[in-house]
Parts: sequence; structure tokens; C-alpha cells
Amino acid sequence: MITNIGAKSLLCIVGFSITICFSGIGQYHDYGKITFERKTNLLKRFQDSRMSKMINEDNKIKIDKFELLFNDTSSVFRPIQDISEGRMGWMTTKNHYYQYLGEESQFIILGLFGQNIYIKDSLPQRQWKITESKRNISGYDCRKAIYEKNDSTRIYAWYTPELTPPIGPEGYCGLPGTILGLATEDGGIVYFAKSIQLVAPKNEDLTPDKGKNKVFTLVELKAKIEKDYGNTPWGKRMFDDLFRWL
Amino acid sequence: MKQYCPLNYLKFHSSYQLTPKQNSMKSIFLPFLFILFFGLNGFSQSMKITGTVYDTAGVTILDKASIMAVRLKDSVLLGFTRTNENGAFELTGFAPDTFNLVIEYPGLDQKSYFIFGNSENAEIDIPIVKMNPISQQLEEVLIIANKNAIYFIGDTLRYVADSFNVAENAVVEDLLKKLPGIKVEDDGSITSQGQNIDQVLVDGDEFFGSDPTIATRNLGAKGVESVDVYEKDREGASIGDDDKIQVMDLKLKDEAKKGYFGKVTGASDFALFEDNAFYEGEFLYNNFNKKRKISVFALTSNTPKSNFGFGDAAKFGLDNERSGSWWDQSNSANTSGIPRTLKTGMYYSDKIGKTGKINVNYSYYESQLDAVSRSQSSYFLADTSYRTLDSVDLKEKTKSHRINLAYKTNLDSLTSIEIKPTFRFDAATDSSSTRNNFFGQNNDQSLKTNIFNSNISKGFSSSSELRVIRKFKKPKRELKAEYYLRTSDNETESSLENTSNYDLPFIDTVIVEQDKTNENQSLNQSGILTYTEPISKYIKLQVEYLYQNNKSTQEIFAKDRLNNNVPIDDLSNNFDNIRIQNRGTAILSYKNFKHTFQAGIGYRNIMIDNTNLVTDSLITQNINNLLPQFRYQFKPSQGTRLNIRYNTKSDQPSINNLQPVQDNTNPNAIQIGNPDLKPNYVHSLNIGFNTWKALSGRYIWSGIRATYTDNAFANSTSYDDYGRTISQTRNVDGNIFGTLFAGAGFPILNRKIEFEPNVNANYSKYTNFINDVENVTQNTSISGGLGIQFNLDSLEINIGNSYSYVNPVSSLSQFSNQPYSTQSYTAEGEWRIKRGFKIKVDANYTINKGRSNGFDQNIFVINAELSKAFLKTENLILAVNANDILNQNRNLLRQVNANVITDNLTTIISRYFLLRLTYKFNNNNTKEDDYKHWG
Repeated sequence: MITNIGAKSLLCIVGFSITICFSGIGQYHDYGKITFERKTNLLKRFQDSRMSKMINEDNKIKIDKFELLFNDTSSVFRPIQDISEGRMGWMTTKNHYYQYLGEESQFIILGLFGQNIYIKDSLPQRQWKITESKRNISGYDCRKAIYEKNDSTRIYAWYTPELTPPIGPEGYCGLPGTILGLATEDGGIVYFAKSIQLVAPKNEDLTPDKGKNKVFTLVELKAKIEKDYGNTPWGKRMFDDLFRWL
Repeated sequence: MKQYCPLNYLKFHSSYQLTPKQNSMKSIFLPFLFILFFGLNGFSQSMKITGTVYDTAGVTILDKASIMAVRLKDSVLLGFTRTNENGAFELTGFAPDTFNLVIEYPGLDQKSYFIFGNSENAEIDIPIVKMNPISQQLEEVLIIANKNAIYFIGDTLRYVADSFNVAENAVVEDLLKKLPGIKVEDDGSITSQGQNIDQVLVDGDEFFGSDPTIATRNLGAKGVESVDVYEKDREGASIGDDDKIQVMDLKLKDEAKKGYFGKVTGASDFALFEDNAFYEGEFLYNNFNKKRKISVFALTSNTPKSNFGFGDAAKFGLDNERSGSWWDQSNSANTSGIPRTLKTGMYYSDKIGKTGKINVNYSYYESQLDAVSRSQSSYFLADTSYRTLDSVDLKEKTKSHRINLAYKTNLDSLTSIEIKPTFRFDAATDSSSTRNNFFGQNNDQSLKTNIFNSNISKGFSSSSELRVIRKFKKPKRELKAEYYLRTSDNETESSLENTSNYDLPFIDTVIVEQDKTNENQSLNQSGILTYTEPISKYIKLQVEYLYQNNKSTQEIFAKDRLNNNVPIDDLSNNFDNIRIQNRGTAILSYKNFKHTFQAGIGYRNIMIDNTNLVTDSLITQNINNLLPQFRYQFKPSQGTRLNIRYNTKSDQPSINNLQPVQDNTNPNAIQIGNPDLKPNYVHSLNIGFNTWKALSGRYIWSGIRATYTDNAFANSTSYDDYGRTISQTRNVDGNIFGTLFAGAGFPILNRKIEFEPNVNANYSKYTNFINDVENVTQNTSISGGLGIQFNLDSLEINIGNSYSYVNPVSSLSQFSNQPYSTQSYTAEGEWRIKRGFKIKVDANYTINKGRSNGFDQNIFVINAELSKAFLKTENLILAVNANDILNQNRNLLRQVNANVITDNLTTIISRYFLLRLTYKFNNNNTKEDDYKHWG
């Protein structure tokens, strides 16, 4: 009796494993639309007492939505506008990133208190550390990689090799797959993919509207902000916010 | 470029976190690979790896497989690429290095190659990369087990225990070692899939406290039905904590939920060195099943060992026998004489219904103490000084029966109730013979007394608690009602015989012979109602109301044996004390993930009626106090904490301090009560800071404690011409006590050596009265020390020193302002030699300076133990103990009390040797480990 059950279960398991093997093979995609949810812990972001009056345990987690549209050469990461955002809107950043893998360049629109700043530069070169830690995000197996921005800031990224373009949220790129999760080490800001649709992006989505604005390089912009605001605490905060992901 | 056969022999299951183990692996493989790649053609500045990836069968090529190079040294991603439609890849663009080539394809197991490149050997081709199926490991397990050995139920990973073969008598730990994905370290800690197991449960419950090895090394593997591993919420996790813990739950077969473990120890010197043999004996036994646990214990000794070790008390669940602490397992209470101890009793706990739990404990204690002490006291008065030489010979016998009961259950999902009655019957007899010699300023003896006291007392006391806690649908809202009842009923019969020789050398003798009875009763009741309301997630309000009704009476009746047993009015009294307290407290607290603020205020009223039933006089007091409190905690991380706490409290005097009758137990030092005594009022401030770095093991602790007391209980002492005293307690304002302490630990060389410095400073200021003149004593002391620990594999050595300096200053007389110091040097070592042999040595050298003649003794105590463990389980241990090999141990104590300096020397047990046999056992015949976890 026991042997029978054992044999049956064995068959089941073997059958199951075979199914996994075959259904799992060949799941590669190089285009799609990923919807991200960003959770920002405002208590961790704003630690001075004036701010903590506005933020409490109930509203400390602010959720913003973003989308990443991509094909094998181009991508755009942009916020999904939320009308009901209200007075907390200014507390988090909302930036656009257009990346072109072929020419290794990117175009960034940084939102600064409702004003846009335009940047054109090459793709960032980051040194990643690969770990053995894995987790599943929205049905995709992801591996954790770590970027040490500086001595005190480490950023975690979870990427999946199953989506082949080496791109991700907030212009994060350079891993052997698409980043579906991105987080500061303290968990203060986390991006996670909520849905992945296999639809090809339209060309107009992948081209930024530059208008007639001045376009900086990153070095130029950093120098300008450092020069203009670097000596005030407020400016320091703005600087940190703007360049948190750059 | 040459091609090499598939580097299959180079495949490891890779792990990128570089551990020392991998380091050593690298050094082993380096020469080997050097040979392998030596002579490879080509020369380039950049690595170039090429290859083709195939499926499991090695037939179908796989395109878009991910290939990446991860540097072994620091896990940095060096480069990545994908296979093309022909399954081929070429990875290049980085400098030669030692790296891990990881090839991944969805649905297949990842494949790793360790590659040791250098500029001459930079081009490598792996023509056939054959991927493995991910389920291979699982399949292997299943074939061995021929049953569903491992499966998931929801998020729980379950191992079916019978599917894994273990030896006869194997314990759970042996089973765990066989489970795939589970690792057991030497110290008993467990990891599952690389993650630490934080808690081991048996059928969903903790098994004898938090030490998992008690479960994993005591339960038989054959009794385990399944092993479940799952995550659960960490209780009491604060924001920012990792709020999940990994739990391992051992599900036992019904017939296996029982077992036993125990320990027997016997030791003696067989009277080889002294007339009377020293002995120690210990028996501990625990028997458990699914719901019930029974422990029995017995201890007998005539050495300083009068308690169970902390670890044994914890392991066997002897909750009421726990004394000492985990950091001091020496369990030799510093008794003031030659003791004899017998302790025995039992503990029983059982589960009743779904949530009910009952605990029953009965303990019997019998102890005997023979103490011989001598002391020299110097008295400094405004106009004169004198000294006394005293010797006391005390014999004491006590017997005590104690019963502790507890029952706790949940009435419904929100309401729990707890009842805890305890009862205690005590009987004691003691007799003491005291000789006092008084010397005047010119060293002439003026008075000699011989006092013989004997007391026979018996008493009954009880203490009971009833607690009902009601929770509500709203989280954190709580209503708690508590009721406490304490009663006591004691009776003492005493006799006093005193011979005093006055006006020496002319002898004028006075003889006193009195009999006295003392009956006292008390009945204390209090009720506390506490309500907690969470105002927001951060803010909490607690309000508490306390009502207390205490009644105590004491009747003392003395009669004169030399005068036809006539009552002595001066020494007899009947006194009654009633106290009614009403107190309301409100505390508002704010807590976020780093800061906690708490501020509160209490208001209380005490009404006291002190009735002298003999004179029928009544003293009433009506006292109102505000009792503020404040607390702040800053916790920037798990390992760092700053605490500031201010609170106020008020203690009430005891009936002995109140009753207006003379206590002439020592006719040379008469005590008299003061019915006008008021409760005191104490402000206390505590500041503490500690930080601990888990990675380096460094820590710092420091703090300040200070109290300021108004209406403090102070002695008012009057001296007669001979130096005899009458003392009464009075209220004084402005007593201060302050202490500052700090210490740290700095490990170096992988924690093999640790430095532990510490420093401590004390200041106290208090007032007393001498012949009605105010005397303020200020004591300043400072002490410091350094400890060094060496932890080598089989050898542990701790050495340390400390120095303390005390400077007492008294306002009334300069004579008692004599600083004294103590230096102490300690060394401890434990060396585990092969074949079960172990040597333990500890030594302590104390240097006393600045004391009276004959009390400036330097004491050098060395203890040593040699032991050998027998049997395969090492459960039988034979040891030779040598205590105080140099025979120097003394109990030396200096007390500076206002205008009195007393140096006391008590004879305590010094050198003795014991041959000790210990046998530990359990129902699995496995090694029975000692408890080694904190708290």
C-alpha cells in the first residue's frame, strides 16, 4: 500500500519536474511594459521634527506608480500621473529616463518642484556585486545584485535574466537582465514590478519631448547646483534627492 | 588557440560570497589550474571566453542563455553576454582575473565554472556546456526515500522524518544533519537553506526554554514524525526590524512525546584531611510527556555550595530555585560561616484544556550555619573616641516549606486570567554568644559584657496574585485588573542572659535574665486597575489606580526571670499600624522606531494610624505626594541604546522602626521605634548608554545612577559613658547617592583575545545624629580594572585586575576620615586536553590597605579542578576539586558608618578537597549537554 502511494507520488513528482523543465525553457523576452510601484518611507526620508508632524504611522508609506516601456534597443521609464496625489506630491521625486542601448546614451528629465531639468549623457557605468540571493518578483526569478554608491549608501537591485534588455527603474542598467526590484539598503525607497505585459512600445513613447529647453550634461548640472545651492542645508537635501539614483 | 575538453571536473556549486573556505579552495586549485592553462597560445590584455550551451541531453542548443563573469574576490560583475541563435557565446571586455563563470537558463539549474585567468592564459573555450535539470536534487532524495520525503504545504517546508535513515539512539540533531538544506553547527545552532533558524519548537511550543539544543539533543530522532520549517512574525518587532523569524517545528509521534533526563553528583573528601568529612550531593531528574513535565531535585552539602547552578536550574525548570545569574555560575554563595544545606522538592506542570497551564511546586529547605566572627569598631565622638573588640559565636538552624501554585488560562480570545498563590511555613532556632570589650581613649578597658541570646521562631506567610487581562478589538487597547493579598503571622520566643562588668578594674556586675515573646501579624491587600489606550500608532495613554490597605500589629511581652517573672513595662508593648493608600497615575508615551518618550505623574494620599494599644495613644498622619516620572529612549539601531529615566517613589517604615518600645536584644546597642516616622521620598535618575557591534564584537556600556532622598530613614544614636548606644530612626532630608560606571570590550584576532576595561566612581552623602548632633558623612570611591580574555580552541584564559579606593569624610570627627583601598588580581583558565581530560584553575589575590591592625590582610585563593569524562557519551565525569589550596580564604569587610569604623573578619570555609563523580543521563543514551545559553 505504502509502496503504491510512494510509487504514485514518485511518478507525480517526476512528471511535475518534467513539466517544469519543458514549460520553463525558452521564456525569454526583449520587449514589454512593466508597471512599478514605488514605496517611500517618508519617516526615513524626512527626519526633522517639522516634517514628522505631517507624517505619521498611517501615511508614512507613500506609493507612486511608474512604468518601464522597452524593446531590445530603447526604453523609457516614467511616472504614471496620479491626480489624487494631493499635498504629499512634492515629497517624492518623479523623473523620466530614456535609454538607448545601441548608442549607449540616455536622456533624463528630472522633476524639480514642478520644473523640469533636461540632461543628455552616456549610460552610467556602475560596478555591481552579484549575490546568490534570489526572489521571485511578479512571476520572474530574480537575482540580487548590490551597487555600493558610496561608503554609506548601498542599493539593491533584483534582475531577471528572462527579460533580456539590461535596463531598470530610475535609469538603473548594466545587469544581465531587466531590473524588477530596486531598493535603498535601509528599505526607505523600494521599487517593485507589479505587472509585466508583453506588449511592444510605440515609437513616440520612446522619444522625449525636449522642447527648446537647455540640455545639461550630468557634470554640468551637478556643478551648477553645487555652485548655486550647495552651501545651504536645503540645497544639500535637494542635491541628495536629485542625484539619489544617479 | 587550443580547445579543451569540457571542464566538467571544474564544476562547483558556486557561492559568490567569498568565505575563508573558498579562499583555501582557491589556493589548492591555483597551481593545478596554472598547469592546466600553461602554454595556452595567444596573448591579450582582455579575457575572452567562448563556448556553446546545450540542454540536459546535450543535443539541443540553447539561445539567449545568460553568461556572466563574477570576480571571486569581491563578487563584482566583470561582464555578461548571451548565447546567440547557435547557442554560442563570447564574453570579453575585462582584464584577466580569477572569476566564476555563471551560465543560467530559465527552468534549468545554473552552471558554474571557476576560471583562473592571467594575461598569458586569457582565452578559454568551453565547447560543450551541458545544463542540468533543476529538479535533479529533489529526484535523488525521492529515490532514496521512496516516499514524499520533502514537500511544501503552503509556505511550510516539511520533511517526513521516517524517510531519512538514522542510527539507533540517534537524537533529533542527528536527524537534522541528514535533512537536505539543513545544517547543524558544532554549537547546536541550525540553518535551513542558509538562513538561521531562530527558534526550535516541539509541537508548536518551546521546549524547556529558549535553548534549542535541549530539544535537539534530548529528543530521540525515532520519535519525530516530521520537521517543519516556516517563517513567522517576530513578536514585539518594532518598525524597521526584520519582522520575520525562521522557525523549526518538530512534530512528534504520539508515543514519542515522553522522555527523561537527569544528573547525579556526589563528592566528598572522605575525612582524609579534617575530622569531619566535607560532602556535596546533587540529584536532578526531569520526566516529560506531551503536556506534563515533572522535575524532582535534591541538594545537600556542607560546603559553600548551597544552590543549584544557574544552568541546571534553567534546564530542569526549577524556576523558584534560580539564584545567581548566568554570568556567575560559581554558585558558591559567600556564606558568613560554616554552612550545612539540604534542599529538596518537586515541580509539576501540566496543560489543561486548550490554553490552561498549571504549575505546582513544593520545596523544602533546611540549613544550618555556624559562624564565628570577630570585629573591631572605632567610635569617634566630638569630644572623645573609644573602641570595642567584639566576638560573636552564632549557631542558626532554619527549616522552610514552600508551596508555589500558578494557573493561567484564556477565558476567551481576548480575556486571560492568572492566579498565583504561594505559601510558606518557616521555623528557626538560633543561639548566639557575644563578648564585647569596651576600651576608652587611653586604651583602658571600661566594660566587659557577655550576652547569650536564643530565639525560637515559627511563622506562616502567604502571597497571592490574581490578574485578569482584557484585550479589545482595537489593537493595543488593554484593561488589566490585579489583586494582591499578603499575610504573615509570626511568633518568636526569645531569652536574653547578660552579664556586664562595669568600672573595670573594680568589678561591678549587673546580671540580666529576661524572656520575651513577640507576636506579629500583617494583612496587606492591594488592587490595581490599569487601562491602556492607543491614541495613535505612536501615542499611548496609560492610567492606573491603586488602592492599598495594610494592617499590621506587633505585641511584645517581656518578663524578668530573676524577679518572679514580673512583666517589664519598658520592654513590653502592643502596637497597631494601619495604612490606607490611594494612588492615581497617568502616563503618556510616544514611541516611534528610534525614540520613546514617556512622561507621567502620580498623585497619592496615605492615611496612617499608629495606635499604641498599651497607652491608648493614637498618632495619625495624612500624607499627600506628587510622584512625577519621565523616560526617554533613543535606539538608533538594534545594537545602540540610550536610556534616560527619572522617577520618584516613597517607601514606608517598617513596624519595627515605628513601635515605641526598646529592643534590647543587644543590651549594648538598644533600638527603639519612632511612631512619628514619615514615609520617605526618593528622586532617582538613571542614564545608561550601550552599544554593541555585532560584526566586530566590540561593545561599550556606561551609565549614571543617582538618588536624592528627603525624609530618609536615619539613625540617631546616643552614647553613654561606656560607649553603649541607644538608637532611634529619624527622618532627614538631602541624602545623596550617585554612581558612574563604564566598561567596554575590544576583541582582536578574530575574537581570540578580548580586552575588557571598566571604571566605576561612587559618591554618597548622608546624615545621622550622634548625641543629637548632626553628622554628615561623605564617601567617595573610585575603582577600575582591566580584564583580558584569551579564547583558543581548547584553552580559555581570563586574567583581570581591579583597584578600588574609598575615602570617607565625616563632619563631626576627623578621626574616621581614613581612606582604605583594595586591589585584586584574578586569573582563570580552562584547558580541554584530549581523551576527556580537562583542567580548570582560578586564582584571586587581594591586597587590603588602610585598615585596622590585623585587618590589613592580603588574601591569595587558588582553586583547581582536574576532570576526566568517561563513556562514549562523556556523561560520566570524575573530578578532583581543590578549593583554596593555600588555605587563605577570609571574609574581610570594612564598614564605615557615620562615626564608626568596623572591620569584620568571619571564619569561612577555606581549604578543602573533593573527589567528585557526576553522571548525566537521558532516555536516548546520548551526550547530555549543559545549559549554555544566556537568561
